[in-house]
Amino acid sequence: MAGDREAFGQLVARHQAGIRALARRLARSSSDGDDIAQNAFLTAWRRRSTWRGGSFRGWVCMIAYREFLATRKGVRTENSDEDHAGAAGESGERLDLTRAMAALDESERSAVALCIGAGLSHTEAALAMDAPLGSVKSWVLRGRAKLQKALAAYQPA
Amino acid sequence: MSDQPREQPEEPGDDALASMFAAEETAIRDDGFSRRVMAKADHGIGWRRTAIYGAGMAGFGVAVASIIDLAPYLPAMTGWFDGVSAGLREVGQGAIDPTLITLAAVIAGVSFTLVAVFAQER
Repeated sequence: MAGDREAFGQLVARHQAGIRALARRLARSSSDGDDIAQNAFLTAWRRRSTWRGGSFRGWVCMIAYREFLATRKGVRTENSDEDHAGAAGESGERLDLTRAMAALDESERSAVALCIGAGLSHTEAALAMDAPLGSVKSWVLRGRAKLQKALAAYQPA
Repeated sequence: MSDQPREQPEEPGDDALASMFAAEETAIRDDGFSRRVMAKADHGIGWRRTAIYGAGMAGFGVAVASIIDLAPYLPAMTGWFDGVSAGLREVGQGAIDPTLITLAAVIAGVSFTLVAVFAQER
């Protein structure tokens, strides 16, 4: 039990940035995203016996996405874009990325955040989103195209 | 609990976009987040354990209180249980064997608690 706790603490420290980044992109809010990430880790801790190996990060990403859906059902934050985009110390590139992500449809944003941002496979993202694999691939393609267009200034020549 | 190598996406993401996402992720500092998560995890365990062990002890008490009432209605069993059920029926008829009652109550209480703890760990 104590060993479990120590190992889990190390995993949280190692993956907190990735999970928080995903949750912030989904929620379009730093504070809401951090709450979602925290709940995702706590859910992972409670259900650790159900983890069947594989990528811990991928598993917690899926939990975080479900936490996001559960949170979204309860409260919809109108000012969330400004909360996330206006965080102090963010570079112009990151602000533009945040704004470009916010302009995507929700399905596109979620698929892009899971696949390109968090590094999940299309299959894992389809499982997390409870959506057909073809739809997820389509959302990623469309979202990526929109982001590339919006962020053309940052693309390498 | 060990970490596994990160799985690769079926299709690699656009390099420039992936780099921008990675930079955004790198900019997120821990700033006590991990510590807060683990503190909440510990708090959650304490609360649930208290509730579950409390329920276990309540079950123990109910088992002790009910066993004498139930004893006359226990069916006759064969094999190893035969001696137990016969003994319990005797309890209901006034021939009390305190050792048997205590043993049966302890088994019931411990079993309930173990099941509750196992369920909590799931």
